[in-house]
Amino acid sequence: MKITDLTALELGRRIRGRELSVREALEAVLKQIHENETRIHAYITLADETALFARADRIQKAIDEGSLTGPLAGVPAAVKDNICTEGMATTCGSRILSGFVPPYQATAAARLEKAGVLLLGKTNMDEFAMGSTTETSWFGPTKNPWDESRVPGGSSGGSCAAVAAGEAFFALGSDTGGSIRQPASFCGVTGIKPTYGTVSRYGLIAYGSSLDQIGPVARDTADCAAVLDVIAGYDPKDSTSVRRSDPGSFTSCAASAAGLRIGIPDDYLGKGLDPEVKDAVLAAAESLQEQGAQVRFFSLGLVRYAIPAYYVIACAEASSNLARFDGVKYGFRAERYEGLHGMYKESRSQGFGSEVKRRILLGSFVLSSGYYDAYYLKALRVKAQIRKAFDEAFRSFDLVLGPAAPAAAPRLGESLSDPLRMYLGDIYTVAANLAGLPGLCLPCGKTKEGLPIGVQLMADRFQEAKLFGAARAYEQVRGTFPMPGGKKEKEAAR
Amino acid sequence: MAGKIDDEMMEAVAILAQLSIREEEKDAVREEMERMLDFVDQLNELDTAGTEPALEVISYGNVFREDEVTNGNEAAAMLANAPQKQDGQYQVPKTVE
Repeated sequence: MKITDLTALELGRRIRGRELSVREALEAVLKQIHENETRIHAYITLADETALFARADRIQKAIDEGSLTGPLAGVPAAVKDNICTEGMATTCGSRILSGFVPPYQATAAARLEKAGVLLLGKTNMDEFAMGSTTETSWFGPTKNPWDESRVPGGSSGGSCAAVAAGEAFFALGSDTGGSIRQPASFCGVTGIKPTYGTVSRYGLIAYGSSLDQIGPVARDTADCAAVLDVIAGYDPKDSTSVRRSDPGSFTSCAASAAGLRIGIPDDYLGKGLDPEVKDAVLAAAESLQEQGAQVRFFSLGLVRYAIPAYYVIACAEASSNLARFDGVKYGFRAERYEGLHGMYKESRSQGFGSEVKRRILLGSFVLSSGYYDAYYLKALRVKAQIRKAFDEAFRSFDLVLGPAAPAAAPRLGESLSDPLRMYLGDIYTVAANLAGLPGLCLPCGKTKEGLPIGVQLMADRFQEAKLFGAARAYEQVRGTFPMPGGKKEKEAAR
Repeated sequence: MAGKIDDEMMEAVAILAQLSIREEEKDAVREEMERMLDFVDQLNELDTAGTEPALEVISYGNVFREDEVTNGNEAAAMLANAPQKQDGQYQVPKTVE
């Protein structure tokens, strides 16, 4: 087994057990990056290798001395490029942040570093996390490691592709409407969007502040739990940060499906769902049932209203959050303009891509005087009803199970021509963001063409432990999900 | 909604958004917005008369803290990212005559 095929926890164990050095782990992952990155393009920025090896030696010393004992000490990982890293360029996949080097560290990244994680670099993403394919990045698309003619999903496509391609042992992503769960599904990796407020958003460049949440992407559920244990926790620098007592205990969540009440919304299995995805998702439910879970179909309701409500709210918040990018304090400034306002307008018009501008315009419209009540407040009322529908569901069920995306990964270039159709692909994921719920996606099969399919589990707010327990129970039966062979190997085998 | 966004509205939205929309892009941008708003209009099928808007995801009321400076003077670090600067200040086009 290659070092880069190990899970993060297994790598951490071997480093602590002196079977592997931190340097060896770093060398292995850098080799994988050098071999794959020109084809996959999972990263926007890679850390300086000399500095990485120096840090690897410092971590090794701390492990040897016994001052660094955590399960992720010495593990190399990647961070999505909308999470600020002190001294390392942070672009959000946008021209408007070109050249921006944050003078401070996001809390989630700081917590990883404190735990002895090596930050390899910053992963590619849809510009400002607006997109479902990682194709709207100013730096060009990321390819899906399972089939390089396909997208990795998005917006955390770089993070998911990096983990799938062995270019990181785990990664941080962010999820505003499914941006961790959908690419995890497309790339055959595991990802969780925690309950809103669980991971500090300090240093996460805001898209839709009431929906954004940072979460882990990894090889399996145990790795996700271990990463969440490190990054979760109250942070006075984020006023929406929640004080909860269970971070630190997720790693020890045992596999457990017995007695769990699992609901499958009928409304998630109807028109638009690819039959292969449906079969794989229902087979996962059956597997949980065989392990003692009670599985029942139910009608969730309001499902088709989640996307329009989501786009109004997300775009409204984005139009406000992205007002700060004006070419004055950081990033891109247009070369030619007339006057101060001309400079703002030209810098923004040239600095933002078309999907970002589309959402800023829509957001500005729905917040404008005369339309605020009809669109923005209406969407917030619908959001309240959607949340209520989930509250009711969680009176009868411990978990809600469904797909993460209507189909496996589309081909590059297929999605952007019809934005509305692309938005509809978020139908199974946006509700968790509107209601603040945790959602976990893990691989449950492959299509005939060999593309990964993910199953999504959602729980009530603060019930991550149930997600981890059920997901681990499912994994015990499923077994280790394979890493992609990639086209190169397939061709070599021919 | 089709046809509801006139030139004046387009201009007002562009001002709010601080974006310049080129003359030749205008029709396409307008069409896209109208198509999206038509899609959003399906929310009107729902009766929300008795529902309060959900402003927060999880409500804890207001969060207060003391207004204390906890960091040092990081002016130089902040200014390092400026696209144009002069004499320790951000440089912008002249705003008053």
